[in-house]
Amino acid sequence: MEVGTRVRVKEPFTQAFPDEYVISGRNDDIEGGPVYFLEGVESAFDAKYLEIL
Amino acid sequence: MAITTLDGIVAGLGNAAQGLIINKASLSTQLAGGFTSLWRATGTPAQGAVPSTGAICTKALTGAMGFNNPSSGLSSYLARMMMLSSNNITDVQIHDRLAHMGGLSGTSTTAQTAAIDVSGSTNNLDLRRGDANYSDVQWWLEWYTATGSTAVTATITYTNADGVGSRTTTVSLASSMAASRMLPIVGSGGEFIRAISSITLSATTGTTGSFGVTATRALCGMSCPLANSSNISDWALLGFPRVHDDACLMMVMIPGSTTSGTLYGTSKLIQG
Repeated sequence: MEVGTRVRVKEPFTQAFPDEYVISGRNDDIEGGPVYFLEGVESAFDAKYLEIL
Repeated sequence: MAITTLDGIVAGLGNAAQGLIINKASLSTQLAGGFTSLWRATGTPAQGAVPSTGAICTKALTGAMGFNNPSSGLSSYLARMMMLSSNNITDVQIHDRLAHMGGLSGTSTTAQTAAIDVSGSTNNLDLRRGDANYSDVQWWLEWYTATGSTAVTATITYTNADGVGSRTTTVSLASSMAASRMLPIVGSGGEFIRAISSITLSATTGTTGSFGVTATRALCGMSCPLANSSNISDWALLGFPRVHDDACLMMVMIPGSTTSGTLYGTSKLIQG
């Protein structure tokens, strides 16, 4: 997934993050990564918890 | 029996008090206004062990403040406490550590088993947990080794007070959660929790670290507003909290700075 992609957050995180988001960053250099950052959201996400819209 | 008169309190303080000594070294990398567990602080009581699988805690655990259960039919109470912190603006609470588990990873993004339940009666838990609706039980994520610098969200899967399972709530994990930090777990919509089954992180934090789930019941607390000045609370200020047999007494601190400071204190536990 690239920066700028619109996504939805999958379960079990949908309740906390119910909106549509845009990927604002990605970190490949992290143990267990990569992780994705969403605009306006402080938490990072694994790819398996993101669904491309 | 129970202590129900001032005479009973005076008699307990004068004749049957057990002294509890607190002398804890400072912990670094804490958060002013956050929650710090003194379970792993060295000193007196001794440093508690890092838990593994879920277990009910008792006063027999290293890390707990030791006391003797009273004779049959008598009850125990905290009736006096003195605290002195090397830091300003420190709040110290005494909790009964009901249950704990550890070994959760900061890099796993699959559901990690917690399997911690306070609904049983082993080790006097049915009395120690308080109200039957679990409103006295406080749930925490507790850190034993720092996790990584990436902020993530944890989804907690739990059973509510009515016994309904597969309920979920979330906790935000800030970057670089340090050892001994605690984050409260609150049930969805404020409902009370009786068991936690699993924890799922939204992403790796970048470092495995080690953290776990802890259940406590707060008994009393006191403030130490001025560094190196002793502060005393009597039975009335403490709320004369009952200490049930086998309680695992520990301290939870709300520090006013990024260290917990050295903490010295004494307390009197009376029985009658």
